[in-house]
Amino acid sequence: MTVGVTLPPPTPTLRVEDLNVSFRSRAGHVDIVRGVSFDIAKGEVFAIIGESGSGKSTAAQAIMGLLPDHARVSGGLLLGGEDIAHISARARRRLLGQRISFISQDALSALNPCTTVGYQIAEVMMVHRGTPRRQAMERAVELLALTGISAPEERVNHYPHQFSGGMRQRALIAMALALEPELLIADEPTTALDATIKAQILELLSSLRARFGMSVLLITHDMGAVARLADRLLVMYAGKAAEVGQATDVFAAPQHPYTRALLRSMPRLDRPGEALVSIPGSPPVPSNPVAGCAFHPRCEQMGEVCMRIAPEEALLRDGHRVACHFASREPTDA
Amino acid sequence: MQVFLRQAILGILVVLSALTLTFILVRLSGDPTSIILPQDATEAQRALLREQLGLNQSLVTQFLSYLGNAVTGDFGKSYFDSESVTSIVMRHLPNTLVLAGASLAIACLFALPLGVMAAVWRDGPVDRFVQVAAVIGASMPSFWVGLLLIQVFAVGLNLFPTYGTGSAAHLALPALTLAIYAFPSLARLTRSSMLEVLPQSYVMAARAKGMPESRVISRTVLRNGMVPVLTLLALEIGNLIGGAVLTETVFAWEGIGRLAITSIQRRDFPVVQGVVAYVAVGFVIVTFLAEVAIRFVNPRLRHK
Ligand SMILES: Nc1ncnc2c1ncn2[C@@H]1O[C@H](COP(=O)(O)OP(=O)(O)OP(=O)(O)O)[C@@H](O)[C@H]1O
Ligand SMILES: [Mg+2]
Repeated sequence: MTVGVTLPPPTPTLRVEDLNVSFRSRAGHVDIVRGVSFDIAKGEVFAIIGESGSGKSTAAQAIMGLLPDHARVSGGLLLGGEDIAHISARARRRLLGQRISFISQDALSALNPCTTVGYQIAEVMMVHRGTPRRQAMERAVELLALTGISAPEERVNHYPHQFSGGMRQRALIAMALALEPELLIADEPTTALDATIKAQILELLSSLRARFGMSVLLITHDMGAVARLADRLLVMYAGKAAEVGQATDVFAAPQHPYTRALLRSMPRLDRPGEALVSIPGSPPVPSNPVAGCAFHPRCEQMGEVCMRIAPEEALLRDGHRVACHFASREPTDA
Repeated sequence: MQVFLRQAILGILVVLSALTLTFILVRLSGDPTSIILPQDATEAQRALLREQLGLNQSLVTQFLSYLGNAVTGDFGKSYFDSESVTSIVMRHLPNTLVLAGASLAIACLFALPLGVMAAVWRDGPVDRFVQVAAVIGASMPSFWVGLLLIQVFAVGLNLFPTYGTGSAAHLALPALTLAIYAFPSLARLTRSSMLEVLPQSYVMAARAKGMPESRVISRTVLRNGMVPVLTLLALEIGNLIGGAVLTETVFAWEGIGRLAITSIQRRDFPVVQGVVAYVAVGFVIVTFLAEVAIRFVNPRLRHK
């Protein structure tokens, strides 16, 4: 980005500063998220990708303050510039559902089987805004219609088990949008769906994001989804950010060996038919951390320094950051 | 609807088997005339009494006429005071219902909240207490609990009468005995079914929607966790009637449990048969009501 005059950067919707999460276990504390920092700008789709167990969901839950009591969380969290890391449980509750919404991977188990879908949507408005039930249910019908559910007047009184998988995910999205949040956290929103439905849901998310002008934190394994939706992305490995940058930059010129391996290992919609290469070895077990760079045992570029020293994140350009001793160090213009 | 039809048929079968089994078992227990008549009665006197009681007819004839009458709600008259069985049962039944209801209420009052708290604060002090209390409660036979309570509260502290029927004071100790009998299974099931619901992602989703914790527990966790508890409650009522037999005997509480015991002892066949029939019908109705309640709580079953 080349700008003539230096403007003060706009306040990001979410700023995460040096987020650390560890879980207490019998063998002491296990570090799951280790010093992750990123900003999500207003209206931006920010993706986090990484292998299973890298700490993506844990980071999302830490942002929402929903981790269990045996988790220890540190770091800064700013929502629209306000500190949300050090607030009361009551203040956090008012935030969730209103300013931050969450949709989870498994839409069936994310809906209460004993209550109608409509009531679960209406409940958000009833509890947070004191909307009368009748009005809230009417709004739920509108929201269901907005997310593309046909016959919403009827559907609103149905129970989750009467919905198909795709419809449940739409209902969850409707619920998340009820109070027009600034930030939508979507943890693998399409994993449980088949390809056609997956595409529809991504399309829906993308159009609704534009319509409501909200920011989206998208956690996914799906490179197709990242390529289609994400403005920026963070590649997570063993609880750390391996690489952060504009999605187009990272796709075009991945700097971290892990990112390159990951891109080769994941199917991409824009390059169908390309042979997939799985990453040899397996990620470290959190209870038994690797010395030096966590990726070095699996790295094709590994040097002697990697076994001793964990690389710092280095800024390349345009907010493109990489944590690798061997990343091409070009002078930064930031 | 089909489910209810199946339930109804099953219920009729249960009652029929209960009627048949009692009919056979009471007749295996011996000859009533040896108890009703004095020891030195002649064989002719006995034969006469048997004829009056209809016991000289063939078993098949007896069984058919008994079934035929039972369908119309007529279980005959007691051998001893010629009062109709139905009116005897109806005189005792309210006492048992009061006892079972009070003890179930006491058990629920403690077991449900404690079970929920034990699950929510797992491994905390409440959880420890519930676990220990459940083990102790389950390992004490109810007649012994009854005697213990009499010893402490009636004899020692002189707070309640030792035995008898009628007032709330009379009700206290037998109801407590039965409540202690029902508590362990109820508390443990409540705890375990709450523990099953708590890690579900819809509970996390409810928190992620910003629902207050009290609402998360009451609306989401309790409603989902209540389904197995309701099923158990229905069985528990059957258990309580079983437990009532002993407890009523210990406390001389004039309920149908005690009625059954005294009637068995004096071979009052019609009363025994009547008591079992009414209990069986009651049990079937309670099970049916529980099934309806479960369907009300769990919509997944409602639409199947
Ligand atoms: N409540 C918890 N207590 C203890 N350890 C936990 C807890 N939640 C997660 N973990 C551990 O944290 C690590 C990261 O889990 P997390 O769910 O964040 O991974 P993820 O990147 O979301 O993986 P996936 O792609 O499979 O969803 C795992 O090793 C997991 O065992
Ligand atoms: Mg996850």
